[in-house]
Amino acid sequence: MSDAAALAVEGVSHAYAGREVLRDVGFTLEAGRTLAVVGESGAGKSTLSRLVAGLELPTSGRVRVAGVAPTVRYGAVSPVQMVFQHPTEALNRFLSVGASVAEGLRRLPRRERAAYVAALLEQVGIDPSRARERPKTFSGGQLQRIVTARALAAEPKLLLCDEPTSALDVSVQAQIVNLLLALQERNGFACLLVTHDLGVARVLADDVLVLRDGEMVELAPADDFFAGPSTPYAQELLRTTAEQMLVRERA
Amino acid sequence: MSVGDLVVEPPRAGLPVRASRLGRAWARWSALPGSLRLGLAIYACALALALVGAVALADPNAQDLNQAFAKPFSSGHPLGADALGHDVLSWIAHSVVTSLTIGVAVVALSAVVGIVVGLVAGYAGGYVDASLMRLVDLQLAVPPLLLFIAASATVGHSMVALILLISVVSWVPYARVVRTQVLVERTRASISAARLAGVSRLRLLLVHLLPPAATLILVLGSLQLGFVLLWEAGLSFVGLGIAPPTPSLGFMIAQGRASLQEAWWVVVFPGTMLALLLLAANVVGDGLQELFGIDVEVVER
Amino acid sequence: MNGPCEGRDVTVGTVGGGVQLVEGVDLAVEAGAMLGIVGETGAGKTVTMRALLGLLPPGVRAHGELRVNGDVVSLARVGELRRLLGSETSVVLQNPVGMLDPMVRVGDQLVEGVVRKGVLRPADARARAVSLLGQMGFRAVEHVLTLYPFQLSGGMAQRVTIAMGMMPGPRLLVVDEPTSALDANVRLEVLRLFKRLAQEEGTAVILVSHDLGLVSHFCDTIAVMYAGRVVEHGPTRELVARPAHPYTVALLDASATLTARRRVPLRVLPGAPPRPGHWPAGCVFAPRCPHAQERCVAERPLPTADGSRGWACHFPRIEQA
Repeated sequence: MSDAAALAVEGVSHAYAGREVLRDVGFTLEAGRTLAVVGESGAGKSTLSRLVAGLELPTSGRVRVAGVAPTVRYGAVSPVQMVFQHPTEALNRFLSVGASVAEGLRRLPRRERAAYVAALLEQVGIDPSRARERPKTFSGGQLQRIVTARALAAEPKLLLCDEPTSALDVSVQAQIVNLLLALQERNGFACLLVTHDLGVARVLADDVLVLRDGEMVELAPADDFFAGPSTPYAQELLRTTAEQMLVRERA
Repeated sequence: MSVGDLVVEPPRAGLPVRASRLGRAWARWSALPGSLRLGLAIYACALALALVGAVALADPNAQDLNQAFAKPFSSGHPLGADALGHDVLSWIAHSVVTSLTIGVAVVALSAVVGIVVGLVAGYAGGYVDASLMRLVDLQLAVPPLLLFIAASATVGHSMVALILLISVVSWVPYARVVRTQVLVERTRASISAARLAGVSRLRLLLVHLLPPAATLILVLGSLQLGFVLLWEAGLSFVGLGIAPPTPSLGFMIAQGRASLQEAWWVVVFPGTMLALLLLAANVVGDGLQELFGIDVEVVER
Repeated sequence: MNGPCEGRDVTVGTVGGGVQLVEGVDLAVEAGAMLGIVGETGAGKTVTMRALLGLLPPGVRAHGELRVNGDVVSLARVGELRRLLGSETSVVLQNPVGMLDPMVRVGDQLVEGVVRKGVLRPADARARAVSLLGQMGFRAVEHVLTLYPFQLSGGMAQRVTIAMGMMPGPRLLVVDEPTSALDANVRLEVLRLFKRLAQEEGTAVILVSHDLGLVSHFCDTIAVMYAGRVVEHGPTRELVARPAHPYTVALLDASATLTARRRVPLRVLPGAPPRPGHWPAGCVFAPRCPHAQERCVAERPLPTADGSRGWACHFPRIEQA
């Protein structure tokens, strides 16, 4: 077993057209654990997302996934796979969902792929007999499950979830949260959860990183963070969120 | 239709549960936009005429000076005959084959060329995109008629030459449309996902970036067909296009001009056929735009 | 004070009766109070809102009544509803960018509607615009009036559209998913200002949202919609503390994640809300309800009322917290 962390971000800065979007961000993430990256819009979460996925290279610093830089190449499966915010946008609307899921299975001989696709769809709670259908016959929550199945097909070291529940109905969001929880327990990948939804972070995260205007403000274990953040900005963030969410006294 | 975030599909009207396959096909046909049905009907009639012509009518090149300028509805010449006794109806029927063949071939060829250029320019970006767009500018800068005059002197009047020539001036709209679609689509999450999955470059272009442009290409092609038909007829009219023995509408119209007063049918009937084919092309293009819910003018700009 | 604004028996469907979108919805809002309509995709909350305002798309028909300022208007009379829109009724739509004309300055846009409808004279309209912007938290009001929409931040744009909605001094203002595009702290501020303004003016507000947490903090009463009907309604505090309908319970659970436990699966409803045209016979929530029984599948529950609360359920959970 490699002793390199599943994800290591070291001194990463990134600039777009002269404007600095991220400054000196660094952290590590071990396999099987989840780090939630939270912050307001413009904090740099999406940029960090793209850098970790290898879709862009940081202007300085380095990103390592299981010890190797995540580069995106034709013909090579990436160790980082993603779950996106808008499930309809994340799937090719002209391909059957089975074909989309199978795109990450190039390592397998063709004959074995169909069985694998069926197994993956079952794992995410989709009826495998629907593999031939196109995305438009599925609901938002189902599509997000399919997107997750596709990500799993590539056996990722790191699952990058970018606002995975924000575009879903409230009663469906909880289903996806539970799904991600179960899949991580079972498959052991590391998970980077980028979200503005502190409620989702509460359930999924082992650790929390707060970004503000491209800088790290606070990095703490989740239980400590939600009990009481140490920085004023994070305290304010948590307070305003709590004021808009429900607090239920469970019997 | 959509209300808020809801898209409501009204149930399919008028489909009885136990309808025969024919009944269902008819229901689907009736659901298409009216303009589309009209255009396709015209094409169907033209093709039927061409079929009849190939099988049942006389050789269009058969001259019979006894029958010169025969009037329409005279025996043996339902639409009359021209100065050399050629049967107008037969000529028209065979011309349809020529015109449509050239039309379809040009559309296919220019579409393929345009799609390739558009895909490469849109995805590669940078220098490749810039140079390909200069190529587009170059092609647009040359007046087609000048090109045809210059080229046909060297290349001749064969059908293949004509197809190649017209294709040279027809591929640009496809390139533009495909390039724009690719530029729009490449930021989509599904493209990132495909790249993370490690698909090949070819698959990315053909399976992920091209399909969204498919409906636009179809509409463009159907409208272009009209332009090509007009070009072909026009070139034949001035003598630069198809020449006998291959029959062409433009050629007969040109021949008939001299004797327009006495034998109006030599110009009017082929002219009407041409007009109908042009109508069909435009109306099919409109109908497809309505069917797909897109507006080509907006996109092309 | 004015009487309540009401929607009575709001029913919406496609022309030709193909698909029902909303069935028998009753709503009431007191002057100066806020009613929150909460629901997910397909619940029909946006459709209901549009029916009351006369803003339904072609191919969709509404029945029922709107009662505002003592007038009773049938929802089928779209022309009359449109006449009320911009004077007695008003709306703030979801996307502030969509509501503002990018080519017209803020000041002109605020004034344009009420002047054209004859609600205010130009000088009065301008004075009102200045006053409303001030009440919505703008300090350099004169400057803001000269700006174009692209010069506004998201929060500013939202506050401007709310001011725009309030310009005619409507009896009823419908607000659709306000602030969904805004950050948490901006959202709070905007809604606080808005609520105070509506109270001062005696405007009845209907707030349509999918966010039960947000609604519970700002609305006086809540109506929960599911599959085209209201399954529960009542005063906010009571509804949140002692929900009667199992769907309300599930929504509350799903919205209360901040107090959940780390890495512990949430209580979850299986399936997804049904789309219009695919509503189950019997109770529409039965397929997903953890307490469903035979009667629920067979028979659609009628709304029952208990004072200011109401629900449509055969076995309400009213005893439990």
